Amino acid sequence: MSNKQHIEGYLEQVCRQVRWRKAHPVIRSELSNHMEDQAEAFAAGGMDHDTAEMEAVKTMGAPELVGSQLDHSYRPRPAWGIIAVAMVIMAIGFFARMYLVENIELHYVQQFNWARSLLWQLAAVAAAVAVYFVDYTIFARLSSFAYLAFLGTVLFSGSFLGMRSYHLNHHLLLLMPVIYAAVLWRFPYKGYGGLLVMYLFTILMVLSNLTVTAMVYGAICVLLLTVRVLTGAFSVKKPLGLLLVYGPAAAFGGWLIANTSILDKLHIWLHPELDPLGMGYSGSEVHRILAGARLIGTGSATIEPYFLPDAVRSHMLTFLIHQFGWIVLIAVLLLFGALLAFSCVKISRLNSELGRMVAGAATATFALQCVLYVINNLNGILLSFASLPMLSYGNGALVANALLLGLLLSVFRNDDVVCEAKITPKRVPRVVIRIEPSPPAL
Amino acid sequence: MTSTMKFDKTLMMGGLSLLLLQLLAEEDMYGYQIISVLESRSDKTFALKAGTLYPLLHNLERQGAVTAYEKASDTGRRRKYYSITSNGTSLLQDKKQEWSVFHTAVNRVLEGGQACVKQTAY
Repeated sequence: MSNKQHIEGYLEQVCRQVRWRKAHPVIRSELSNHMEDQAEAFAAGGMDHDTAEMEAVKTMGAPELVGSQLDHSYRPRPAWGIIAVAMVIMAIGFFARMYLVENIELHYVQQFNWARSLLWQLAAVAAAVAVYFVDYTIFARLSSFAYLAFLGTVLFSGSFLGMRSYHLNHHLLLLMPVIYAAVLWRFPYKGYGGLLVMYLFTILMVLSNLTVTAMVYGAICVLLLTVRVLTGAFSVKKPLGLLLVYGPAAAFGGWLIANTSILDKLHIWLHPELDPLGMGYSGSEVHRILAGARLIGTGSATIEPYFLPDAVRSHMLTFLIHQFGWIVLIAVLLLFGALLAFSCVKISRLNSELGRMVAGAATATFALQCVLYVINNLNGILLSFASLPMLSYGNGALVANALLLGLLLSVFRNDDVVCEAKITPKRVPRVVIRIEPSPPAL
Repeated sequence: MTSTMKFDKTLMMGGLSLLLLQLLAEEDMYGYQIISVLESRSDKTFALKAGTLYPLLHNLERQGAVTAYEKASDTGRRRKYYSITSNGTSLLQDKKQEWSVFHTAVNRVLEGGQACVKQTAY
């Protein structure tokens, strides 16, 4: 038996004791390096190379004992708190949607049925479970493909799917921040050039689907870029880096205000009573319905068919508050508050920078959807396509959110076996120009 | 204390995380380096096996006391370095305090014990 085989044999015996297979490469790499270092030290002390390697293996201790100790210490870390809350949200969502379908007579209700909804629910759970058990670093390694696939689908799906592409693209937008986070992680040391390239990547994603929804999720991408600038990942001066990121964004915002009716829309959104039969219709209806809502029990407002636009999907919460009282909103806020709080605590404990970025992007996407949906349901339409993750109606959105949940849980589960290079920000050299006094002219 | 003296392992285990955190507070190190430095600085009193060190390091990592990252050496070998975190620094302070109290208490008992023996001999 050659000595490399001794090392391999030892590692094999150690890994046989460790039940979590994903930990094997990490353990192998660390123990193998250890034995090689030890062998080099023995060789430097005068041993021949082969004996040094054999002795190095002997110094490691009994492989069964080492393996069983590592088995105790390397275990997947399921985020049980998040899993439990997500399961409760999914279950409540399923029954709430069915309740709405049974109780609201709308013209498009015919297309809903239990079997179809159940199938989508199962597909969502299967998607979450499948992504959960896949090592999320694979997603990071394939992030460039994911980015191109995202752009390609959003830009060209209309040619193949017609109006259906509208829905598909909106669901894909939910994945935009996590795809961007993974791409961003792969560009750690690129200076101002790298920063501009990543900024361009954000703009391309937003431009590919020039909607308010795309801009909202684009804001998460800009936030991720800001974090990278502030943590020194681009090795640029922070004030200048932030100016590069927010200068064009501010200019674009200014252009939007000057050249579109965005301020008028915002004004109507804040005061829907000014245009109760036009743009303020939804807001006026929501205000009227919620004015009669009780803490517990059915509200006093009357709801006729078609009065509340899209009560099954966009205004599910408004309708449920009317039916059961403000207690519904309190429960929803508590559930999503718990989900986001568990997630934030877990993120703060992650070792992997990639994990923090992907989990942060997924959590921010959940948080933003919740905020937009709740505002929408308390004050009329702000962003009509927002959904309440895993709870409100929307089959595609349900699956997209389940994918996000699976990815988030995969990050927490596999953090122990992800070890990456440390980002050490390079100091930007300061150029000092010293002007020496010129010699007096003769 | 001589380097040939055999230790009760349980006596050693309690203080090991204190020693590891102290070494990592001085500089980031990889596993083999930790064993070597610990051995040389203790005059070979603390000769750790890999099977003791790595689970301990990994548990400290789980507690958030240390964090790990990969770095290539001059030879191109990618090593896993351990670095102390702010949590680890405060844990180290607690453990130092704990050790100081323990050390003083043990000495008091031992000194008291010798005094009793002398009194009995009289």
